[in-house]
Amino acid sequence: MARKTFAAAALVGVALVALPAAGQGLRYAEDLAPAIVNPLFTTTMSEARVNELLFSGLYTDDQDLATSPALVAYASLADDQLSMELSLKPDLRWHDGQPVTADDVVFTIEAMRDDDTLSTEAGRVSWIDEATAVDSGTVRLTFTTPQATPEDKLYFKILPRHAFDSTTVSRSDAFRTNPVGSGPYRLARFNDDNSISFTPHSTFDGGVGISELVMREVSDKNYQAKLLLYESLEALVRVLPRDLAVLQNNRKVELYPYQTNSWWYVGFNLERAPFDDVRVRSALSMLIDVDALLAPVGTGEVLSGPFVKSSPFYNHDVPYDGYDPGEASRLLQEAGFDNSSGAWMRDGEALTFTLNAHQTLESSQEVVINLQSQLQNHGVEVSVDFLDEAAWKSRVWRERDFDAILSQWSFDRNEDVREQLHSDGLRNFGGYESERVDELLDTARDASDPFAKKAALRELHAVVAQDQPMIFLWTLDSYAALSTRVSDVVIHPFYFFTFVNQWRMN
Amino acid sequence: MRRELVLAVLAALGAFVAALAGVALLLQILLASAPGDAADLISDDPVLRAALVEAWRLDEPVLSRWLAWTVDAMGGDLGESLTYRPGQAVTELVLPALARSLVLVGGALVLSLTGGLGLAWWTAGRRSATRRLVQALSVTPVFLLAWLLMAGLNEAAFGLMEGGQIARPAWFALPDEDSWLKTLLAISVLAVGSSALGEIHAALEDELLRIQRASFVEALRVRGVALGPHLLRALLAPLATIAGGRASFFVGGLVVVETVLHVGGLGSLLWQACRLRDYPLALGIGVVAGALVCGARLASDVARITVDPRLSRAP
Amino acid sequence: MVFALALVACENAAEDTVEELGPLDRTWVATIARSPARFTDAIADDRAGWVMVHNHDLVRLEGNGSTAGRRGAAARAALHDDLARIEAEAWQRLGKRWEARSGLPEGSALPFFVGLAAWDAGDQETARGWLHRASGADDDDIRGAALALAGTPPGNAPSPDGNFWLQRVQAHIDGRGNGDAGDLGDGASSPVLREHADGHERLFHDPMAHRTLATAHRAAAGTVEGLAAVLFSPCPALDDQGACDAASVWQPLGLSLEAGDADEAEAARSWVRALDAKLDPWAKRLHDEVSDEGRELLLQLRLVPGFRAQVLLDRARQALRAGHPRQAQAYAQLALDLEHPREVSPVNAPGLYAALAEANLRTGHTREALDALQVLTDLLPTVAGVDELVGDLAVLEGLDRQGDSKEN
Repeated sequence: MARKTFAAAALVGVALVALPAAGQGLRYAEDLAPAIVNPLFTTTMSEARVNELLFSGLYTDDQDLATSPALVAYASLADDQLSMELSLKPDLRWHDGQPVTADDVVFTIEAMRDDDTLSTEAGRVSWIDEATAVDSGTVRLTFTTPQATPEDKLYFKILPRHAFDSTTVSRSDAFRTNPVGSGPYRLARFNDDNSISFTPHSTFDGGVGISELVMREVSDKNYQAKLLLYESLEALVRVLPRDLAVLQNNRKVELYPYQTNSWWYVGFNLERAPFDDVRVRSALSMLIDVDALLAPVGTGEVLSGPFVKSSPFYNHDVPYDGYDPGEASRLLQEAGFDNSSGAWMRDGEALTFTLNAHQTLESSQEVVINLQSQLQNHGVEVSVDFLDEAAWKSRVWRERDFDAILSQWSFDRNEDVREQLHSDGLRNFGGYESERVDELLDTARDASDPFAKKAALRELHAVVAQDQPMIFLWTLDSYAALSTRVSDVVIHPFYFFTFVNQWRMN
Repeated sequence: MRRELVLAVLAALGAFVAALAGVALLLQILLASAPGDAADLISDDPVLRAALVEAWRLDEPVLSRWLAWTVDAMGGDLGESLTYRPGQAVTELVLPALARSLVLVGGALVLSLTGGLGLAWWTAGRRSATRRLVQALSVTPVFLLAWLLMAGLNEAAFGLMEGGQIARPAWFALPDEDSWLKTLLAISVLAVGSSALGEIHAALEDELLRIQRASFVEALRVRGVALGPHLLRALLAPLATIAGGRASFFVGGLVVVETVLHVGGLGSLLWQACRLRDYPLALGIGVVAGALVCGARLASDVARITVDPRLSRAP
Repeated sequence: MVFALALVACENAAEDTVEELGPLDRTWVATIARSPARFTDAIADDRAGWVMVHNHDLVRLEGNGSTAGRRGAAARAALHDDLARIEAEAWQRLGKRWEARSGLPEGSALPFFVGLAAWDAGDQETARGWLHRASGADDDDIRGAALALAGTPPGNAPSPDGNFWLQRVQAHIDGRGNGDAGDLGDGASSPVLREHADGHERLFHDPMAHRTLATAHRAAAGTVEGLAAVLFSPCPALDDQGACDAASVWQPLGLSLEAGDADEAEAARSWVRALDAKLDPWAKRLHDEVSDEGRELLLQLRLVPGFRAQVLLDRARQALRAGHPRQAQAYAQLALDLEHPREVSPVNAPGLYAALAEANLRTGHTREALDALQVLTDLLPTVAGVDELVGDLAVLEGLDRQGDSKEN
């Protein structure tokens, strides 16, 4: 009792001077605040989530993840599948009260295609040949090739024509600080602490449940969970695996699965010796105890190929090779290396490489240090370099200037690995080339029979596991966390806020 | 005399501008040598990247970019942010941040000097555990001190809230909400950590001992005059010197303190700008910070000379 | 000092009174925690078997004739019932989606299997539609079987007359009658038909296998009475006649036993919060009041979390039966122990993953259903067929979409 009185007295001055905080809307955390609020220039998931709050597309997912109309009332597809007419819902309004019209749809498509706009989303409309406004509420689209289900590709966000001078939109356009959308929320203000406040769009179709949303920048992921427990936040988009148990036991928080079909890997630069030798790559993979690497990071599953284990494309006949230093030694010797000095050497040069990791990849420091330690115990010298976003984009994406990288890929439910593994893939950083893999990816892309696609990608798993362009590590369990004060929550598995207008605050 | 004064002022101004230009050049070189650039953060599409590089002049030599920037800056145009807040004028971003940082730096100076003076007064000439305690506390790095205090206050408050002893304070939880407590915490951490308070205490203690041994003090003591005001007056010049030196130290500490405590000042803004390769913003901050440091030194010199005009004739 | 302040103990908020939580003292959890000897007596006949029951180690319990073995058989029966429902739903969705997208593959046995699945689920009208579409199948026996089944009420076996598929249907019906699945369960783990198409194979598993397995395990389960009937189960207590008496425990606590009219996930979450608001203080009190031995039982066996998970699983199954998959999804998600989310454990029963899979499937989250099925596939080979089928559906649903990937 005395202790409690003392403690209360110690803080009573603080508590009395500072008035209790008033009730607030929903506050959610992002690692980095969005730099720009304009769907034409989205590059990060943080920006994509804000777009989901502010803007609407012609179509969207419903709660059963089926394509459903958003701005569209009804549509008709021509028999030859080369055109369609879309009728917009009547009485739709932008945040500034102006009506949403067919001209806005046409403008958006033209702006995305305008070369001078330099939009990062230009590829999303490359299949549309022409867009015309038949009348104020009707748009006609013609396509470059027949489209069986064009509505599946009409999710991109629509922009207001009246907010821009022309279809050439600049990143520095005033729209970025005063965006006008037709989504459930409007941007109220950018705050001094890098947070952003949103208020409901008064005429949003279907209404909006929560009176205010605030995006807070909390760059320390370890601290995000703490803030949720302190009730200084109401939502975390992704919870660190090690925080799951703590949050689960807290009755003021509920966890929602937010699996993003993601897997970690160590990727080699196949254009550099000795990584151009599959024996060296295989040997290195066998010198790594992946289970031991995973243990401090969180719960997950070790993988043998480029899909998560629950994927229909995962080939369960391809085992994870496992930790096998004996076999690794044999392979290295076969590749001309010698370990008589305690370190693997070939032609007087040590087997050594630099491992690059992205600074913001959660738990990457632990993994890298443990991995370095494991390999050094087996006579392979590894130096480590953590790169920030710009350096990563430059060294890995653009220049391909690395020995090996530690990173993670996240996929939507289609799990399309073409960009990562096709010889023409834009995200094939390591320069992996396999004629058979290219064929299988083409087969998968063109398949109209799910059995055919499944068979092709399972064979791809086997081929890639054999070629070992990368060491596949694991997939982690991924969850979002929300306060129990938020009800009627449905989370979109990729965009998170698609159904936010239905959420309620108690 | 007037001509000498004018020349002295012009020389000082010239040195000031040269210093700032030098800061800008150094920053340009450092930023250019970091891997990756602003265009890398926007898109991996080669066509788009090429257009951005051209638009932002990222392919020009460092010296050329620096010259162009300097000419614009002298006209008051610090440019626009590239990646942090694309299109927003750098001055619009920097000035509010400067105001927040001035509060921290100014507060830290006042706190550290008055605290150091008080401690020096207490411990000068004595064997004191306080001296060791201050040193031990002050040697803690600012980031660690900030984190410990923040975590401790949060946990304590949370415990009392869960127990129903107190209502939720407006400042809870640190550093999420802007509050007077957060500002006080930042000022305190700056003033105390990374040996700031310890060094000020030690320096003032030495000065105090030196002054106490001066003949004029002995004379005052013999006459039975109260020594306090005279000692204080004698300390003003050293205080001004210490303040001038410490200001730059505190400005440098802003990056860590503001990032840990989530204060939107110059330090955290510089961190973001460098991370995002936002060259105009980083340069703008660097120059303003440089101006702050130079200004503090200038103010320190003026104060010293004002207090003791003999110092103006020092070799 | 601030840490000392932080260590100041907190008084709990106002607690429920002893009387208000009294119904929970009737549960089997309280019974064995307060009287560990009764627990020891209940499991004495097959201690090892009961460990398996507690750990949901259903595979090792197979063929065990003790009370524990029969409890395991009952759990297996329930699991196979779940899998049969998932399979029936997946077949319908696969057939409809495929036909709507590009028309059924020519000469394929696909419509026969879709029809057979509907027939075995008791939906004769749907079955008839699909079985008639199978009249274009390349295989004679498929065509013949489709024609025969289209005119036969579900549950009745048409005369096989040497037709391979009708013989198989006959074997299932016989097996269900005598409670012996024989090797019919293999049809759930290995394909019963490999259909060759352009450069690839379509693999079809037996849509009737899980129902037959369920019947066989149910026959092996028999009836268990007394404390052994409720140990580690969602049934909180027994009435005087030995029947499950959930009402007398939950209703006084304000917890409804009904599924409700609307499929609202929030209703399920509210129910769980109300349950936790009662269970948490009661569990703490129980922990303080029982003997050391009772406390050991509570902690080592994780009795309260396991009981909670079983109750929520039961609610999930009830919601699914009532056609409320969103409620079921909420119950199952909240039941899962996230310390080991991919493992069957004393808290994470196999049925929980089946409920998650079914709820996700019925709410259009086909890909997420596979996450749950994967756990079961590791446990039971017979899940392989359902897993492949749902996987085929997930692939079909994604054929026309543009994939997206992000780094980190």
